[in-house]
Amino acid sequence: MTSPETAQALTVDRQGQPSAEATRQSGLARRSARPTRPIVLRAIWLTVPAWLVVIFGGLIPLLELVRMATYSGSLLTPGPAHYVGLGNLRAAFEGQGVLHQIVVTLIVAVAGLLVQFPIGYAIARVLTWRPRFLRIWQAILVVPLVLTPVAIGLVWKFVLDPTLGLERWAFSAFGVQVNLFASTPLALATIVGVDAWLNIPFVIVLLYAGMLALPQEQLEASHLDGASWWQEQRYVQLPLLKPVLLVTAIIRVINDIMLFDIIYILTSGGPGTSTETMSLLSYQEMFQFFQSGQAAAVALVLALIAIPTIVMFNRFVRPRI
Amino acid sequence: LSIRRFLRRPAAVATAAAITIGVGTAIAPSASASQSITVLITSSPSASALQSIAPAFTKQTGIHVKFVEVPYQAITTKLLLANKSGSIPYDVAQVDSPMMAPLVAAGALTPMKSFFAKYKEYKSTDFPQKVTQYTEYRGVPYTLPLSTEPYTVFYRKDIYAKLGLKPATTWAQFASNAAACKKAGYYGSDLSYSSTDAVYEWATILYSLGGRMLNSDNTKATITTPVAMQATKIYNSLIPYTPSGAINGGEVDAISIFGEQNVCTMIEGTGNWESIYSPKNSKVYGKLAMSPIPQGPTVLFGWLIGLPTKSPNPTGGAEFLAYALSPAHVSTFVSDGAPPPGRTSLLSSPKITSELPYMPVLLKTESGALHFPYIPQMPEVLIDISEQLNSIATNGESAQQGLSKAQSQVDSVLG
Repeated sequence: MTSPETAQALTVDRQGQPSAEATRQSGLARRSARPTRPIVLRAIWLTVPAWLVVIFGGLIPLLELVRMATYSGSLLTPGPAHYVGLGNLRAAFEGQGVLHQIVVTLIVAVAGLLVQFPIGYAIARVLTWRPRFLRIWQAILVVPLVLTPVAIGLVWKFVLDPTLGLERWAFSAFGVQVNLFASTPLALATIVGVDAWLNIPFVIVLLYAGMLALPQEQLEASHLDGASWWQEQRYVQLPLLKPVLLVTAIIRVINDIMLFDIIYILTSGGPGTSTETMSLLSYQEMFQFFQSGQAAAVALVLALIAIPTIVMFNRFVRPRI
Repeated sequence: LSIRRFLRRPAAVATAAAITIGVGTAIAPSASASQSITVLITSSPSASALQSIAPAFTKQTGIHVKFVEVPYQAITTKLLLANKSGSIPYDVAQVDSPMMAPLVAAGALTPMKSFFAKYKEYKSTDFPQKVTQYTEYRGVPYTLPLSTEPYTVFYRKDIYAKLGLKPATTWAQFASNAAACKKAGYYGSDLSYSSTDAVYEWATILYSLGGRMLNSDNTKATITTPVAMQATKIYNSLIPYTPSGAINGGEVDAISIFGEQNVCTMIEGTGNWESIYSPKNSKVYGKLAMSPIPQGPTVLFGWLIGLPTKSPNPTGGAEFLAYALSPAHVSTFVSDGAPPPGRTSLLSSPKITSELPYMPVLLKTESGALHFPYIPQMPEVLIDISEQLNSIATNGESAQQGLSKAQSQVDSVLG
C-alpha cells in the first residue's frame, strides 16, 4: 500500500511539476471514466424522443418564426416572399410604435405579479393553519383554475359593463357612474384585477404545496430557539420556500407577458391603444391587417422579452447534481 | 447489386406506387364529391337564410351543400391562408365589404363577369347602380350582394311621440333631440366609440357632411380637414347622451343596449332591424321606426358573397349562388328575417314592403348611399382611425391631436 507521502513523491517531481507517471495515471483515469461507445449510443437512442420534442416542438417553430420575421410576409400579396432582414421589425417599430406596447406588456406583467403574489401567499399561509371547512375552501379557491380565460373574460365583461352589467348597480348604490373601460389607469387595473382573479389560485396551489413540504424539524427547531412568528417567516420559511417562490413568480411573469385572451375580450386594447400589449399587436398584425411578417417580428420581440425570465426559470428548476 | 438490394428496389417502387395511388385517390374528387359544395359563412341572419334555401337547392340539383361557420374575423384569415397554401377548400364564401379588396388583391376571389353571362336568371341588372358598385373592385364585380344595409337612424317612435320630437333632418336637430331625451330621463343617442368600431358611425356623419376618409385616389388620408373636424365635433357632442356601455363597447353592444334600454336613437345598418324588432324577443317591438341619416348621403354596408379561386367545385358554387340569390328565391331572406339583397324588383314589391316596415327608408337611402374606399389596406385604416376616435372620446385626447395621429398612421399605411 502506498503511504500518502510516497504518493505525493510519485506525483510531483523536483521542480514541483506533475511527474510523467502522474500524468499517465491521470490520463488512464480520465480514459476509464469516459463512457464507452455503446453506452454513448444507447444514451443518444434513449434521448431521441426528447430531442424530437425539442426539435419539432421548439426549435423548428422558432426558426420558422425567425424566417417569417425576416421575410416580406403578407397574406395580401400573391407570390413568394423575399428576404427583408430587419425590415419587418423596423416597420413594426415605425408604424405601430411597438415601444408603447412593450411598456404596456411590462406594466401588466409586473403589476400582475405584485397583485397575485402577496394575495396568493397570504391565502396559502392561511390554508396551512387548517381553517374550518378547509376542503371546501380549497375547492372554491381552485374553481378559477378550471375555467377558460375566454369564458372568464366574457363573464367579467358582462359584470363590469357600465350600462347592462352588475357594476352599474354596485356603483349606482353610491350615486356614481364609473366606466372602467374608458380611462387608461382603470382599464389597466381592470385587466390586472381579472387576470389576478384567474391566476391567484395557481399561486396558492403552488405555494401551499411548497409550504406543506417544508421540513418540520427546522420549523420546530426555530420554535425551540424562541423565534418569533416574523423571525420564523423571515429567516426560516421564506428561505426554505425560495425555490418555489421563484419558480411560481417566473411562471406568472412569463404567462402575463404572453397575456392575450383577457385583454382582447375586456378592452380590445382600448381606450385607444392604451392597453394594447405585444400579444395583442401581434394578433392584430396577423389576423386583422394580414401582415404575417410584421406579426412574426412582433412575436419575436415578445419572445426576446420573455427569454431572460425563461432562462431564470431553467436555472431554478435545473436539478442540482 | 446484392440480392437483398435487388429485392428491395422493386419493393420500394411498389410501396411508392401504392402511396401515390392512395394519395391520388384521396385528393382527386370522386363523382359523388363533385356533387357537393362547401360554403364558408359567419353567424348572421343572411347566413341562416342561405342555410334555409340549401335543402331546396340540393333537391333540385343533387348538389349537397355543406356549411362551415366561423367567427367574423376568421373568414378573411381562413381564405387568405388557404389561398397562400395553394387551394381554397370553400366553393362559396360570405365576406364583409372592407375585406373584399384584401381578398381580391391576394387573388382569392373570382371575377363574376362570366357568372353573369352564364346565369341569366340571376338578373344582375336588377340592382341600383350604387349596390352594383358596392360589389366591384376597380370596376370589376368580384362579389354579389347578399344583403343591402345602408346606415340609417333607428328611433323610438313612442318616446319621440311622448316628447313631441320629429326625426332629425340636420345634425343640430339630431343633437337637440338627444338632449331632449336625456332631459326626460332617457338615453339620447347610442353611437359606438369603441377602438374597433368607432369609425363606422363617425364616417357616417362625415359622409353625410360631404367629407371622405381618403382622397380621390386613395393615397392620402383626409381626416384632418375642416369637415372631418366638424364631423368629430358632432360625433363627440353626442357622448353625454350615450349609455356608457356603448362608448367602449362595439356596435354589437350598442345594438343590445338599444334593444334593452330606453334609448331614443341609434345609427346602424338597416339589416339590424329584424334582430332588434323580432316580435319573439324584442323589448321595443311596436315602438321602433327608421329615418334617413340627417343632411346628406349615407354609407352603404351589407354582406357580400363570392366564389373563391382555387376551390374544389367552382361550378357547383356558382350554381348555388345563382339559385339562392335569384329573384325567385330572394324573398326567402325576408321570410327568414334576414335583410335581403337590394334588388330593385324586391324593394318595390308591395308584399315585401308590407312585411318589412323599414323598406321605404331603405329605398330612399340605398340609391344615394356611398361605400368606404376599397383598398387592400382598409382593415388597418379602419382600426387606426377607430383607435384614435376612441382615445378622443374616452381618454381625454383632443380631437385635433387624435385626428392628426390617425392621419399620420393612415398615411404611413397607405404609403
